[in-house]
Amino acid sequence: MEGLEIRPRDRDAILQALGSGVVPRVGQQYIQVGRAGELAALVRDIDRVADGGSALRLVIGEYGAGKTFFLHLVRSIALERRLVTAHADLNPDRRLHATGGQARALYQELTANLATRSRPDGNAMPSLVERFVATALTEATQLAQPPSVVIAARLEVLSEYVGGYDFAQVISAYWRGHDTGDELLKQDAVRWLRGEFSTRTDARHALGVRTIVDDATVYDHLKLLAIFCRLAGFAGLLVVLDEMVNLYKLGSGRARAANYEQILRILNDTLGQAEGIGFIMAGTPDFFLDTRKGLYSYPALEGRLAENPYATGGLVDYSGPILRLGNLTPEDLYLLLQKVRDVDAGGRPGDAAVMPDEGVVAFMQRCSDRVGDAYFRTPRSSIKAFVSLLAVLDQNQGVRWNDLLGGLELEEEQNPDLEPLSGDDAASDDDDELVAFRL
Amino acid sequence: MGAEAVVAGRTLDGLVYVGRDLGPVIERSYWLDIEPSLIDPTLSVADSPHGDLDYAWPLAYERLTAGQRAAYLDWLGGGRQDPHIGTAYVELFAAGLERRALADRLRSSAASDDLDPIMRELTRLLELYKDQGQSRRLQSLVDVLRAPLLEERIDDVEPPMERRGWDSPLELRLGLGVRAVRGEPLPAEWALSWARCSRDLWLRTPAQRCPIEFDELFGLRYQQHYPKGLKLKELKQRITVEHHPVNAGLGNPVRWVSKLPDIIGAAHIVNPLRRLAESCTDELDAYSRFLGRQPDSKDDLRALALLPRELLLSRGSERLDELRGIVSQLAVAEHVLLRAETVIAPLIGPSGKLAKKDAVGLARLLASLEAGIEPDARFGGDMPTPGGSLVLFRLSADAAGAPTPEYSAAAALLYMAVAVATADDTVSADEEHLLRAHVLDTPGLEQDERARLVAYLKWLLVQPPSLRGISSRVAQIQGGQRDDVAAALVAIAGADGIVTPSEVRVLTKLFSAMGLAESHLYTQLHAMTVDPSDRPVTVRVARPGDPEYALPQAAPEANIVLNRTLITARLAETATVSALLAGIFAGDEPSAAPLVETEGALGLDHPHYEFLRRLAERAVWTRAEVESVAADLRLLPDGALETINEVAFESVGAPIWHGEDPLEVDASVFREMTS
Repeated sequence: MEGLEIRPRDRDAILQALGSGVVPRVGQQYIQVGRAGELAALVRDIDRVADGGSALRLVIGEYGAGKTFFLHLVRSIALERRLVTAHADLNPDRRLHATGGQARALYQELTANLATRSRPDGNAMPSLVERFVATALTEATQLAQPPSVVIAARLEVLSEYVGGYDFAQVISAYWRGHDTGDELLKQDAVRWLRGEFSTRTDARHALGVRTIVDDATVYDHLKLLAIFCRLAGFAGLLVVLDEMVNLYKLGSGRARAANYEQILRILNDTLGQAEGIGFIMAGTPDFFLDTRKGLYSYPALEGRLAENPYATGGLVDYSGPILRLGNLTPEDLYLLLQKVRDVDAGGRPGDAAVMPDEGVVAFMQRCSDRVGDAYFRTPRSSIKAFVSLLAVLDQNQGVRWNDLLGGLELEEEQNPDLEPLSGDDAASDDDDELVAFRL
Repeated sequence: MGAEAVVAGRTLDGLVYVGRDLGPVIERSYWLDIEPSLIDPTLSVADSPHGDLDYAWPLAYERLTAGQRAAYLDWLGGGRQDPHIGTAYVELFAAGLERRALADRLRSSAASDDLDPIMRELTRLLELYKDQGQSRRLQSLVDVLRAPLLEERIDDVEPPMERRGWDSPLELRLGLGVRAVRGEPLPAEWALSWARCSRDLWLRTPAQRCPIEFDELFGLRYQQHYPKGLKLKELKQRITVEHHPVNAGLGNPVRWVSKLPDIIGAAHIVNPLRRLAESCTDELDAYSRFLGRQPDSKDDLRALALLPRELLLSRGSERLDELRGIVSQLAVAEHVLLRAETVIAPLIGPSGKLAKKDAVGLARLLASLEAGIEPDARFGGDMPTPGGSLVLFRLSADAAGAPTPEYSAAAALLYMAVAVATADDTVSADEEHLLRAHVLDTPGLEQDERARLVAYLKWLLVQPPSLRGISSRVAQIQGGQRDDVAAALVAIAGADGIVTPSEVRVLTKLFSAMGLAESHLYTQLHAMTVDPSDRPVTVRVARPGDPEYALPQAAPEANIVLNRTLITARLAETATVSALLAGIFAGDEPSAAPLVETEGALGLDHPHYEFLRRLAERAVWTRAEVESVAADLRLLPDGALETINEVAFESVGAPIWHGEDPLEVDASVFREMTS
């Protein structure tokens, strides 16, 4: 990556992640290949959110097209642009709309994965709250006013929104807990913000509020959280939802419709009143296109998702809510492997020529022989193997690349979407996993 | 002979023997001593006829009862016209003429002069009583009398078109015989005469019910099969006419033998002409049966549609002329799009619809006029419906009347493709272009089929197809072709760059009808809509079968061939991305929101700066230690950590700490910040 030195820490993180088959948490920018238009579109979205606007994108791509990698990169960009991000995979127990606690479970997952630039790995709720309180304290000192008054005044704006009053109460409770050294109160406040209270009674006992985050108010609380992020000095909130195909797989038509209605609500909001919040949802083509079970089955969404009729004959319009990711081609993989090699060499392309370009091609050929087209369609295994290969070359100065290709082992990937869905499938709790590995 | 006589009050106008004492011609007769036809006026006659005369032998006036004589005389007196008179009475009368013509003529010149009136009378009687049993003997009497005359003037003999009685007409036999002798081929009118009159052919109903059409068709077919005429061969057997006299007084049969051969029953005539005639009646069968049901509808288009093409062309009919007028528009245009009523109005039945057989008939009728119609029920299409439209198009005269498998498959594909293209209610120019391309590129189609397909497309675009009964159309497409069809359909849907839900809905149905996996559809749709600039549109997927040229086998090691152009393009794109990302991650832009209003160093207030300075003293901190430092400074630990990292990002583009518990601090970043 020209003009960007790779920090050794980032280099190790990237290689370690790729070597174990997951998307790197940092430094995706070093290995991004192509997708200029798509990324530019999402950077515009992020900037709009940072300017107090809102956005919704549906990222549609096949299994193996690199949706999750793309989302991670976008999330990194958002963090870099001083947004707070929250991400979660949907699964049967985590939905946009539900009546049995599944929507609250999604909210819990999102807030548990709340990330800032300093805390890209999540769990940033306390940081967020304390950033807010800290700025309020500074202001209180300058204005020579009691902090509680300043906090209340700053949170005033929240009360205009659904659930905003109790939200403000909880933030105040956190400050009281800090002020009085009541760690339990602080913890309860964070627990409330993370949607971990399951009954109103408990919440009233602990925090004196009458409401909790429940299935019906998840979206309202995300909006409150977004405003709060801005109050705390961040640019806004980006909510990233992956594996939307799980909505498509819901057995009940009514449940699907309710979830799609929620998407419609979000879409309408992002075109209008929502502030400082962006949504990115990723799913497979069938989730989008199926006219019986997919988004196309929900008539009200049809018009909203309609594509620009002028984007024809080779013109591409990235301004609609739909963003399509094409499958990887062998050429993409070739460039990607080159990038990985360059990362391995410390960001200096061409340096440490342990693996020349023809070596990359030979490696791809070898993969192709083993697993056929899957080597570039679902490239996780290929990349894993490539990183291992580089590691061996790094550590054994005398070994040449062509000595190693013969012993290459490659696992076949399976599309988890093609497997029957078991009801209690919790998928991978660690969201950074590209794919839950099932053979 | 010509004199009038009055017998028992009835006036007889001649042609009978009246009187007594006229002996029979054969003098020695065991059972007769008087001329049997002689009317003896002295015999008693009843006032009114009674008693039938069915059979009598010997047949003689004198042996009749008084009542029978009254009946006979009444008939004679009434001008010999009563059509209900018994057969025997007519024969009794003929017996007199027979005697006069056969026996008396040999002896008296007066009798010779009577031959003409006798022939006239016999011919009249034959005509009058042709449907009754006696006509055979009357016929042979006439024949035996006129045979020498006919043979003498053989070239004036006209071919007879009607057979009287059992035997083939004498004229026909003579006509055939003389041509066989002269070695002439059989002229068409004589062949027809044979077909109509020969005893060896029984013409089926169509020839009787539609004689004009039969004659015309037979003539045409005869010309087609035997442009020079059927060759005749001479046989040994001579034409013979034998007459068994009615008059019991005349004795032995009379026989006339011609010098011409009798070939009417010869196999070389019977077999080919019978075959020809039968094929003609077959051709007219449908038409004839239609007329049998509706005798007054010769001009109905339904009836005309059943006529053989050649007959239709020469046929004058108001309805047909209307149709010709419509079809004549094709002289200037390949296709004409019409309101269906314009053409089908005369055929719409009481149900308000066009019956399938009528639709087929119409299509056939139009084909005779060298015009095709779409939709055409014969080609698997729908039926034109009142209120709908139809397309007429130019068709060659010898166009097939049934679809080939290639056509059926192409039409089915076209149907589905238009269903997809019209799913969103509009057919864009791109879509239409692609549809046309499909028609023109379909391999293995005849010129007429292609023209039909273009017309079909035109019709489908006006009258968008429904998906009812789609499975029958899908059945036209071979299993192996379905993937290609699917690809073509997806290409059509995406031709305008937009795939609408309604298009997807139609595609879903078509895919399931073709037994293809739905996931397949989504994959294809997705692949097509991603970055359309890269991809040419697939009209028809290349097939591995029947290659026109053998391609050299690719060398096995050259499996992975990277597209250099694509790599260059991707590299350029990647450079753009890198520049974009470098701009973002370099962190060199100023913070939009001032974090903390301060007067301390690095833009931090005193407690935060102090917090930062103290943390920088050590590389690793536990969470508890961090919290105690924060507590000392009356800071919230997480908020303070966030703040100092933010400053680090802003100033040097890297975090000063990371991790949770333990917390790692990067002293080099601190030095960089403070330097």
